[in-house]
Amino acid sequence: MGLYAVTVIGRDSPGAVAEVTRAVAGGGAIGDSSMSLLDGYLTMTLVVSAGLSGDVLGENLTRGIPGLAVAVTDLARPPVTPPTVAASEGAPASPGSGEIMDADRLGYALTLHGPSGTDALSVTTGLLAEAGCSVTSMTTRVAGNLFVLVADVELPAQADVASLMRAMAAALDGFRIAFRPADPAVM
Amino acid sequence: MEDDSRTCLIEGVVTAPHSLLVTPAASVDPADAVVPAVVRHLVGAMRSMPGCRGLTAPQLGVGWRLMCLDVSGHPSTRSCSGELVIANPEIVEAADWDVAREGCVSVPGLAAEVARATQITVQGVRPGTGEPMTFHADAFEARCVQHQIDHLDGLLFLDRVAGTRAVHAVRKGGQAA
Repeated sequence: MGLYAVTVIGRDSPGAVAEVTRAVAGGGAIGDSSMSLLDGYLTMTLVVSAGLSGDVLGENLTRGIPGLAVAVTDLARPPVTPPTVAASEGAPASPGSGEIMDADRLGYALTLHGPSGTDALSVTTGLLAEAGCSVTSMTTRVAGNLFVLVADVELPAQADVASLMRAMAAALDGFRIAFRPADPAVM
Repeated sequence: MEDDSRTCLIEGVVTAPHSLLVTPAASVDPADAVVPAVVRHLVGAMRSMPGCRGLTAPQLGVGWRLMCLDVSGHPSTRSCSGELVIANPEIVEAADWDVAREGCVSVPGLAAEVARATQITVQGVRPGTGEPMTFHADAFEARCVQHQIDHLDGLLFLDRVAGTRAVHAVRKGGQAA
């Protein structure tokens, strides 16, 4: 059984999402998925478990939803091995563990808005990367002259949030930038 | 009003990005001779925009803590004070937060889920007389008041979005608060 990321992009129309999911479900089992309209275009990403090869899955989907661009990426699932003490202390996190935030990292919600048509997105993500932050979810929207970015960000426990905010404020003149703690409350 | 250099009323509303929308407004002297004209303009502008339930002076180009609202007839309205104009409003009590989607005439094309208190007590003064006023609001009226007071504090609903998936494109109109 293979694991694939299926991306579908194209002009939105009534029933388009149903067509995509019907076609994809015909080739395998849909796991995580997201759908969004970006500037009026339908964009979907679906993780699919399928007994077909990626090439065959892609061909089937291209035939099944001819009006939309389809790409299939093979997500080579690493073999599952029992965790060892050494592995759990030093090795990269296993797939799926990203859903649970590392206890040593701090969750923040970043909100930024200001003029559109600038390099604010690349500047922001560059500064976050320099500070050792991970972006776990992000949305940008443009409405007229307004650019809005909202991101879930994990900061290293030792990160200097005030310095990061000062650097962002200096680099993004004319933007309103806010960092809010967003650690989930465990009930 | 138009020849008073302290204010600069505009036709229509200021839209983001704009410095007036991210700058805290100054307290207003309710007895200032210019205030009645600003109030007339504020209420007239609110009434003239379909779906608009509230408006503040900064949205009209005036950096004063002055707001109006009228949630009459909105399906989510419970408390309803009718048409209300308040100077220097402050929230003195807030309780029972809830998340709902809201938009703004100053942020056309976008809406977002925002957490707001559903029960609030507000203090302020009446423009013109300066008479102190206190009122309670709940549900949609409470949301609308908080949205307007945010404007007076230089905040947009975008500064309070509930998550990365909480900002939405609005194809037309939207729910303006």
